[in-house]
Amino acid sequence: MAQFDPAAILRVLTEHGVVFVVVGHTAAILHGSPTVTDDVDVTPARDIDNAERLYEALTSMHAVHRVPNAAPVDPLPVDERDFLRWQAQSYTTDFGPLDVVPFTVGVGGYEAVAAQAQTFDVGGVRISVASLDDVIASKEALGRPKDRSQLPALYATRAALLARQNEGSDANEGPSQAEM
Amino acid sequence: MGLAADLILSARLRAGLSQRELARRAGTSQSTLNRYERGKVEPSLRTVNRLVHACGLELRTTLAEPDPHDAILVQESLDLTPEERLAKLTSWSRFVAASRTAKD
Repeated sequence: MAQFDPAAILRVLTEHGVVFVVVGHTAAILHGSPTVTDDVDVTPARDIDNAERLYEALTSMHAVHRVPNAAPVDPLPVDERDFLRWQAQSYTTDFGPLDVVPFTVGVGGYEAVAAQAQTFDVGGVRISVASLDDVIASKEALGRPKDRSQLPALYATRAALLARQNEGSDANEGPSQAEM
Repeated sequence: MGLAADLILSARLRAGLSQRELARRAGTSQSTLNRYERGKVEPSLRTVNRLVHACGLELRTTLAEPDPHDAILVQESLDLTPEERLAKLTSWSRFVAASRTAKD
């Protein structure tokens, strides 16, 4: 099994010029949530050119479909128009699991998520990340047991971020620095 | 969502009731119950107690000293850069993977 390296996944997507927003729990972790996840979720811009770039990025990471309780399905869909559909698609890559999520429950598609997204610098790579409010709204809307169990930590993170922003602390190296 | 929403949903699921059935037993509407469970409306403690009772359960509360554990974890995470947060996630994932291998 490939070692999970979320930074590498995001770097590959960026290097291929894919326009996307990091969503889901990886987004929460980037905001500072002291929790863990085992996959990266991204919402790509839905146009044919971006779909082609996403296809190239996934190909470069040797992505195969990730199907629960089954061996990986190979190969990737040959038509990049598959990425213009609304269904979420799960992949295993050289750097671990990656989910392509066209629509975030409780928030909307790429335009809605991008409208509130913040930019983070991750090892010299500028990444667009869904706002913590949107991550929370999505988990509240989904309401699955695993989402509800994550909410207390997300609420605590949001409250702590607001407290730091109100104090105007220079020690906050999260969103305030990322918004440069 | 908050504590009240969690308590009401947990009680209903534990009792194996649909929203409609619990609303009927508690003398409220399904739409109101749905708003409580989704955290859109904050019910009073008395209402929470009534809904829990309608599930055949009782609500018990105790007082306790605050536990700073989670707050400390949040502050430590906020002190990291975004890159460091992802690196920590990668390290955690490797630890979990190594633990699984060791168990085998």
